[in-house]
Amino acid sequence: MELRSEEMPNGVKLVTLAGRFDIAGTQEIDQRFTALTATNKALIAVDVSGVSFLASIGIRTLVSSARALANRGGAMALIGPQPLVEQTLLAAGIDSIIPIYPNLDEAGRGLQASATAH
Amino acid sequence: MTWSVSLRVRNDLDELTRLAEWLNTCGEQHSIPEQTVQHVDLCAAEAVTNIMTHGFAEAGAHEIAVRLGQQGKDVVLEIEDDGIAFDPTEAEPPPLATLESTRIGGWGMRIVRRFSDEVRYRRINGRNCLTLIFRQPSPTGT
Repeated sequence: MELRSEEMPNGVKLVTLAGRFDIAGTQEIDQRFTALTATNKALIAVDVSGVSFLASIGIRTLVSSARALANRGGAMALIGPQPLVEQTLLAAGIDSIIPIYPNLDEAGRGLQASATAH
Repeated sequence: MTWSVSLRVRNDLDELTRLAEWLNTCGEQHSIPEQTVQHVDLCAAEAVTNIMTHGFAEAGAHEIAVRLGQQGKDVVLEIEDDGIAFDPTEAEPPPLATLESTRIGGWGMRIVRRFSDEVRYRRINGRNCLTLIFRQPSPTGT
């Protein structure tokens, strides 16, 4: 799997994931992803539009990081899942833990609103 | 079955990559629609992960048999293991995880139920036999 990160002007960290988020993909990015998201009060938008396949092992990585972020006063959002990945997220009820947005602008607004709400 | 092909994997999570590659190759060779292959791939990953993670009480080597085939129009995935008896058609999925809870997991069975059209289970001679059916639309649309 590929993982890139970029600090955006609005204070959001954009993390881009691409590839198969299965056991092999998770093993490749899990440590770096967890390290990237282990910052106090960080607002993290995860662009998953390049993820072609999401298994529950990948969901575990996303949810663990989202919970760690919430405990540190931060928040996570997902951007642009492909239909199969979105259906997987909805089947697992992940949209109630990590909100899903169609693009970075909307994710940024949602993350900033959730940060000011706390 | 009209046709079927089989693969045996060891109870080692690294085997999941070989399983996924095999399913995708079979899908292509047998002209299974891409969306069905994706659903089979996802359900197989979840069901086999579940067996490898929870199915065996002792740490010895086990094999899990996976068979992909077609019965009439339907694509059929069968998974057989000699682990602890587990009937996923009887088990209630755990409550949905929340941001506040510390529980992690329990998503696999929800994913299998969402992406397959029918889940059947039998315990035969000390083996779990799980059958997942993926219905295909009739070519005439009826």
